[in-house]
Amino acid sequence: MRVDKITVAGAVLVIIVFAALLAVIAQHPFQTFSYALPSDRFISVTHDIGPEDSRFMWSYRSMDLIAQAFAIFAASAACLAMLRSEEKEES
Amino acid sequence: MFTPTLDLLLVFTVSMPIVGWAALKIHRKVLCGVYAAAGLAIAGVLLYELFLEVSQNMVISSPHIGVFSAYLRIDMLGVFMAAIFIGLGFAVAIYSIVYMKKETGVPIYFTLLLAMISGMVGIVFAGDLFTLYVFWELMCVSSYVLVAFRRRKGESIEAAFKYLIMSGAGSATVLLGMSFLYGMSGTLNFQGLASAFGQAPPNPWLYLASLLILVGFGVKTAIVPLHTWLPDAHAAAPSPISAMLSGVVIETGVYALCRICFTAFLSVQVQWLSILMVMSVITMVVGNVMPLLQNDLKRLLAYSSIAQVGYMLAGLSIGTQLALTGTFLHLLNHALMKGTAFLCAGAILYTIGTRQMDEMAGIGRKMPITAIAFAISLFALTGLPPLNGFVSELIIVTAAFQSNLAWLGVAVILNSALSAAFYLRIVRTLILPIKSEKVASAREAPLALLVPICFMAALIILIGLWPDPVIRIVQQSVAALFSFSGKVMG
Amino acid sequence: MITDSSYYFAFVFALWAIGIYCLATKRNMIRLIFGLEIMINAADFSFISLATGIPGFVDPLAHSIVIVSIGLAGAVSAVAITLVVYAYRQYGTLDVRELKHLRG
Repeated sequence: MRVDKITVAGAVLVIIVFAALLAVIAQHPFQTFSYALPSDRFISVTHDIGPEDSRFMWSYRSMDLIAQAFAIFAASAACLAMLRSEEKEES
Repeated sequence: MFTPTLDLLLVFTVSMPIVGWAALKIHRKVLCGVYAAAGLAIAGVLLYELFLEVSQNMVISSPHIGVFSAYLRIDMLGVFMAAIFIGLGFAVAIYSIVYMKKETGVPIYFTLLLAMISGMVGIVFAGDLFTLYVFWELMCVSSYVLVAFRRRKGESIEAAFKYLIMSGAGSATVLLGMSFLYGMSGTLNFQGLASAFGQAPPNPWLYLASLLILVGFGVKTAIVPLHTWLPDAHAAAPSPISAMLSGVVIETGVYALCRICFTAFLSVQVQWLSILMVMSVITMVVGNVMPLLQNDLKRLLAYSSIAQVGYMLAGLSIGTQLALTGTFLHLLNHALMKGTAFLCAGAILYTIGTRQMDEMAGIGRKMPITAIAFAISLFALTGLPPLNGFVSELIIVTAAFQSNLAWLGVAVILNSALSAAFYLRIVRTLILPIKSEKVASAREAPLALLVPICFMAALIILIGLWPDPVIRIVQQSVAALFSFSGKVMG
Repeated sequence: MITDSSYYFAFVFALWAIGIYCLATKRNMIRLIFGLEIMINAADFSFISLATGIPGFVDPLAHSIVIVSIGLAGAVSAVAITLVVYAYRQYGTLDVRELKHLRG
């Protein structure tokens, strides 16, 4: 099997990086929300998460949703720009 | 919805395809560009009103306020940077009216240009790290295809794909770093991050998050091991888009790094800024050595952008208020200088059709106005005294000497001197005797190409001779940047 | 000390490392786009696993971030695949190294 040098080098490098990250995880546990301020936005797991999530999202993060809509508009304009048809020029 | 400036830009983005279709129906392609330029001019006027309001106190625009809601936090720094983006965008829109005349798909080009400018204005107005990320993706998505707009040439597609993959990987890495910041503090809001991490003892996860975010934003800012997309993308893009990419899109990366450094990473600032110092020196050196070997004019200017970003990062890594004043002033100056240089290179390319420097000997004799403006911008990039590049580099070097970092100041001075080698080589190419047939039959560029170039060259000279009003605004912006921490450094 | 969340982070880093490996070594353009998608999914998984930090409660902020991020990842992939489609139509190859030779 012909072994491509780039594949081997990439695999070795990535395994080294991954091992280093695993060492970090093993020695330092992640204290979730350790620096957090208390807040009343949390939803209990006994409730129905879907509608409550969507209510939070539309009342507090509406700006992100509207900006995402414009990003999808820009992506569709970009696809149109790449696949436009070349018609003959009219002066 | 958002603020009037951002709203207006987004409305013009969405309505541009309709106006473009109508313009093509009545055979007046010029209307697309005129509509885009008019939209940017009105956005500039609204931005001036916003500036008057922000001078009193900071503007917050939001439905709810809390550490977990998304809102726009507009301070003087945001208004300053938005003014740079809209100003350069206006010049580029007027320039593109003539430059893109022969292309198909002109309405889509202006749609994507307006989308890119809206994304950039949204980035500097964002008050929340995730809102910044969403507007960042809006800017990036429009810029990927603007690089590949001249799709017939092979280099455009390859450059755009390489740019997309590297920039997308950078965005994904930023998102991963943001998730660790969120996990530790429960919020992604700049004010919330500053109060959560302000007094925190450094934690290995904080180091890891800062490394991931530095790498992620560093791909877009073209810090050195991650810069390989830049020469191809900036050379293959149409010239007005090269001016936008080199002039302002790279600088949004510097802005994002500044914001993060002075809010979330206050406690690990010392280590982080030392690493950034070393990387800025490497970036400067690579950015100044590689162009010595280049023959392609736009590739040379693209490599020099890497060096200028190195100067900005050197200012950021010193960390005092004076150094950051130099960085943000250099942001404005670089947008003007590099924008003018790329627009002039585009005018030369429009006239003779080649980018290779050995084929354009003596073009300055045939296109005098373009050549004078090009020479002014190149002298400013080197850092010659009566022009604006000198003022910002002087501030950065002074700040370096004041903070006992003399080696950094000496590095900046040496790199400026080294960069003169290739900038002056371009000036020499402009005034050599004419050798080729193409150059002998060249005429001066059309008026719509000359007006933005001359206006920006005049601004370069004006800011160089009289920088005081601009420096005052930049000082207010830096004070706004530092207002999160509550303590003032030097 | 290995807590429960350590396994989640190990998985996140494994996904991220696989994404980086795909981007660094693969030649086919569509595989590169897959690598990008894997990296974005690693970050989304990290957000979701951190949403359950406090036992008995769920954080809707993390869920909102992931929903918007999935939409944006779709937009970026659409643009990338459009570039690949155009490159294939024009040059007949899906190999990035072939495209580099076209540059000359």
